Formats: sequence, structure tokens, C-alpha cells
Amino acid sequence: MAGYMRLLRKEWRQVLPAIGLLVGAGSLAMLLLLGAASRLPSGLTLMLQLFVLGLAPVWALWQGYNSFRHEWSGNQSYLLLSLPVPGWWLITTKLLVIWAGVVLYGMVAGMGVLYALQRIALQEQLGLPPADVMGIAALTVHSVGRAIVYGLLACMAGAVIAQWMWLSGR
Amino acid sequence: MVMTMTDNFPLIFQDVYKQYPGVQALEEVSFSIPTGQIVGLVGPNGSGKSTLMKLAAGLLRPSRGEVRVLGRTPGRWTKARVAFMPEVDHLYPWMTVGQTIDFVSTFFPDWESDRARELLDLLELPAHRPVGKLSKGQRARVRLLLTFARSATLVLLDEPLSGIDPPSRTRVVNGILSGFRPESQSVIVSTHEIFETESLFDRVIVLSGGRVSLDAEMDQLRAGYGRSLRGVLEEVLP
Repeated sequence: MAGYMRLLRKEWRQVLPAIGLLVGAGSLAMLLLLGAASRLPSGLTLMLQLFVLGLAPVWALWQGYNSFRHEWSGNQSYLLLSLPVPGWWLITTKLLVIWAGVVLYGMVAGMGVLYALQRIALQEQLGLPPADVMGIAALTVHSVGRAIVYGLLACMAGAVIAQWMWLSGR
Repeated sequence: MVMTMTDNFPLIFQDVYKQYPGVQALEEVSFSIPTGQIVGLVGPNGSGKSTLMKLAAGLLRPSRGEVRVLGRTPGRWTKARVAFMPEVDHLYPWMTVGQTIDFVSTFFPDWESDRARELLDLLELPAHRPVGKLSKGQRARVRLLLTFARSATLVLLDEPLSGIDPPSRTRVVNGILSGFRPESQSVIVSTHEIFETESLFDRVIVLSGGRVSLDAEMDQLRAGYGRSLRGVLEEVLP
């Protein structure tokens, strides 16, 4: 598995700037929303936080497409395809790294969702008692979990689109 | 120990055809390459040289016919034993030369670290410089290092001199010569830069329009035609 780990490290290093940008932008959006939370209705804050979280699958779709497309157009596919490794290693290492980016982003955006839900709960707008920590945590995990699952599906879709475009010569 | 046909001939093409959508790249190509030869694969642009190399490297599959590398259909097993240097620049620009060597070496059991260090010196390559900051000639030499730092049975060099300035060409040709191990290797050099590479070849295969139009030992060729490879090609190619 040394080869697999090596490919994984290579992919991680390659996608790291994009992940850094995503997580940085997500953190900034969260901080801005938290800063404005006291002036906004709680429901709107939650919606905006969920929107920020919902960008994860969109990024995953673009990154999945871009990651595969970049390798073909940059000729690095020659290097990867001449390695004596199974094809699924090449594909899963790419998807795994993009998905890790989605998970990281999901955790950051999830913190914002958690905060917004907590505010609503405190105001009893959901009918939850303020101390219902488990309920809030479950809702957050549910939202973040969905974003992560959709993120995985989206990066796979991006990869398929890139592959299809390459095969059809576009 | 029983010697088989494939022990003596690491690469065999048998009536190979390769078709891309709307283009017949190779037609009826048959030849076999024995161990210990440096074979020049020459022909004009679009004659099918790169397609032939990719078929041997296992990057493409023939539309018809059979390609045998070390007795097997090209695949993962043969990739571990074939060193392929593509024509295109296939290295990651953000990796340093050292990181590139380290990355590639992980995957090949026949990698020789001492040999790689020797070649690094011989080819005058800066290990700590990112590949993206190297000149075209230096990048070609990195690709050559990655190819010859392995004790691969079959070495495929696709246009190793393409786009390289004359001083670097000499270094690349010297690199090919110093890396070649005639007792255990065969090398195929695809090129249309005949002037610099002619002296390397033991044999030449000329491709024209996807077909083999000439396949001869260099000695025979010189004796038969009594002139340089360039002169022979002018006569053979349409």
C-alpha cells in the first residue's frame, strides 16, 4: 500500500491550495454571519449558514471535474497511466482527497450551523427547550452529514463529466 | 533453463492495427525486437510512431492484432518492466526534481537509487529546483533519468530530442548511451531527428502512413544503400 499512500500524498499536496481556499472562505463567511447574527433574525442566520454549508457539494463537483480535467490537459496522465498500479487507485485517491476537503469544510460550516441552531433554540423558536443539546447536535450532524454525502456524490459526478468530455474530445 | 521466444524478443508486434475515430493510425504492423538492440523508429509526423510506443507501453490497446511485451499482453505486469518516456512533458511542475524521483521510484521494484544519483550528476540536474522552473532541455533530462534509473527490460523513448537545443541534445544522446545495458535491455527510440540519433541505432524501422516501410539493420542499410540514414529515408519515404 506504499504506492497508494504515495498517490494520496501527491493528490493531497496538489489539492491543498484549493482546500485551503475553500476552508478559508468558509471560515470567513461563518465569521461574517456570526458577527451579523445579532442584527439578523435567527431564522435568516440559520438559512445563510445552511447555504454556506450547501456550497460544499458545489465545490466538490467543480473540484472533481477540475482535478481529472487538469491531469489530462497537463499530460500528467501519461505518468500516472504508466505506473504499474490498478486504475481504481488513481481514481479513489483523487476522490478521497476532494472528499476530505468537503469534510473539513463541512466541519467549519457546521460550526456556524450549530451556532445558529443554538440561537434559535435559545429563543425557543423550534419549540426546543434551551437545554436540548442533543437535539441541536443531531440537527447539525444531520445537515453536515448530508453535505458530506452530497459532496462525495458531486465529486464523483465531476470526475465522470471530465472523463466523458475527454473521451468525446471536448 | 528453457529459453523461449519471448526471452529473446521482449517486444513483438503481430499484424497490429490501431484505429482512432476517423483515423487509421497503424496498419498491418509486424516486427520483433531482440534483447541488446537500440532500435530507431523513424518516420514523418503522423506516421504512427507515438501510437506504436503507447501500444508497447500499455497506454493503448490495438484495434486488431497482437502486442506482446515480455510474452504478455501489455498491462500492469508489463508496466513494471517497461520504462516509457513519452514525448510530452508529463512531470508535475510543482514537484522538485528530487521529489519527482522520489515519487516515481516508489512504484517500480526495478528502481536503482545509486543509478539515479549517478544520472543526476551526469545529466547535471539540480535536485532541489522545481520541475516547472527547469528549461525544456533539463526537463527532458529529468524524464531520461526516470527512464534509465530503472533496470527495465524494455525502454521506450518517444521523441527524446523534441524541442531541445543542440547542446542539450548531445547530453541527452550521451545519457541514452550511458544508460543502455545491452546484456539485458532493448531500447526503442522514436524520432524524426535522425542526424543526432543515427549513431545510436543498431537497427531502424521506418513508419510511413501507419505502415512499416523499411525494417533493417543499420550495417545492412549502410552497406546496401551506401549512404546515411537521411539519404535512405529520402529514397524510402514518399
